[in-house]
Amino acid sequence: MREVWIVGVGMTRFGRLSEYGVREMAEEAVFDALKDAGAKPSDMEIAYCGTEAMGPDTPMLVGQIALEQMGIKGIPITNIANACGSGSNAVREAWLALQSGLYDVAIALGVEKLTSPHPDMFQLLSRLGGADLMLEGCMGFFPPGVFSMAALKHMELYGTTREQIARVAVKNNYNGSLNPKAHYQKPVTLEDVLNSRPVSYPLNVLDCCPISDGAAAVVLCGADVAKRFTGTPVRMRAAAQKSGTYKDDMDLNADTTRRAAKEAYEMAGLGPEDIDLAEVHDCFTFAEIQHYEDLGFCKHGEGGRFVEEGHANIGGKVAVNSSGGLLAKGHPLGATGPGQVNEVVEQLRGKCGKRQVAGARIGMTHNGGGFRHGDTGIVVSFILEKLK
Amino acid sequence: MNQPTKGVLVDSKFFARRPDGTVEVVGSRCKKCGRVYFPRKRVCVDCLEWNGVEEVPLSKKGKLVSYSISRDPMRGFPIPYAFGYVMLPEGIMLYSLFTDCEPYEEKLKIGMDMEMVIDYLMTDRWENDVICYKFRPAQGGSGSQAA
Repeated sequence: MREVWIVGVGMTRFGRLSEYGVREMAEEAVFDALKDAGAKPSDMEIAYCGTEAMGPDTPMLVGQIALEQMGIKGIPITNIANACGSGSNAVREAWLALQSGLYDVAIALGVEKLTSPHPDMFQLLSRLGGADLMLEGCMGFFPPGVFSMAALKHMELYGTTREQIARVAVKNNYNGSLNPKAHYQKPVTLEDVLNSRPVSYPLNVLDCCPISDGAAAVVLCGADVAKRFTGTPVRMRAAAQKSGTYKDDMDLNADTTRRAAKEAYEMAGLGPEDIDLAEVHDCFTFAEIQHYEDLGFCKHGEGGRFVEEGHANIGGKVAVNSSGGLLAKGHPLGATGPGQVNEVVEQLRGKCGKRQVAGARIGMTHNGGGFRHGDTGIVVSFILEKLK
Repeated sequence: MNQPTKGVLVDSKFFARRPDGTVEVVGSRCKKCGRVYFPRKRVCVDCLEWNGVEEVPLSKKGKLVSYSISRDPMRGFPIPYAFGYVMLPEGIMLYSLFTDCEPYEEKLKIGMDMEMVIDYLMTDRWENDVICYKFRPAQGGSGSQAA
């Protein structure tokens, strides 16, 4: 397998960016990524754009339009819509293109415009979550419900407490308060979470990620051509992707993450004990508890205790969502995955200031998306390593 | 509970209407290996014979896998409303709304026996009543009230 390095990353702040459209967000993220890499637009040989393209402000050919803003044009540009995993899917396709040997340098962009005064926005947001519309969407299905059901089952089976679940929001909002690019930059208390507005029993509004705008970009190349660029490189040890199997096995939303993690660890020749930090898909507080277990950071059923005892904190066993995660950094669907890669790369470079994970050498991302029949539609996981 | 027979089915692919007007939820069963599918297919993915399946009504009893109670007013239902997954004996897990079990937090218990009913779901944009399956806690005894 060809060795692939990430040589440049860039992203906008995530949040309600009313002054930004898709073009302006992409311009900023791509500019930063190219500058970080020490690359010119004409160095890019192939590009992928991850966007769920849900908003009325998002055009067809969004990748072509957004990348042209920074002079990236004429090359193959592929748009990828794969629910909340669209952006990681784009990064993985870029990695595959480099693996093929046909291309030496690639850029992956994720961009999403979800806040808008457009009257159709409300209707479009009700599609979020990617359920099988006729079967589940007509019957009151919505994303917080999925993880609420999984949470109640976990509480019943393992004695996980409501307070342990709320701790995830406390931790991630604290991390977000140290991240100038986060949507929410204010710490919250356990009481704030427990007393916030109920959304889907047992989860409240502070258990849910916000709806955000944002863009993030990643420049990748074969290690053999990396000397063309000046950005501090990070090695990609694994890029795994799986879709759901919809097994009717009551194992709500867990199996796809487990299979993606297994492939990622095997590809990297590493295990969960080697991971210093992880950006995981905490669309809801309970989701993060499930991911600790399915990524192997703790035993099955011990996710609640893992966060309660501080093992997921910056400075704990695995720093989980040092950026603030989806809960605080925000969740602009297509930009979320490349945003996770931004955080892990900057952590491995030692550039994260107050939220820096000391001595970080190996980082992981986990980006899920969509629900169908009690299972996750897509999971992508990367393992990145600091070069010695 | 008087179960409606009139009304528009939420999606006709998931149901069959019987001659007496009653409505059943149906899937497909492979004529060769007996595997049951829901939603229905025209081919068993193991046996790969086109139209090698027959229509089969799904079980009307199952066990509650998990549930939640929504307080989101954007979904078109009066809040709060309860929903979750029910596991049927044939190994099919059905997403469903729940009825006849308020207050939900007290009446719903993971693992409890549930039974299917046909119930009013909503009014569509042409003012038709839309009907759909729902589940409620099993009433015990004869179970004759189940659809």
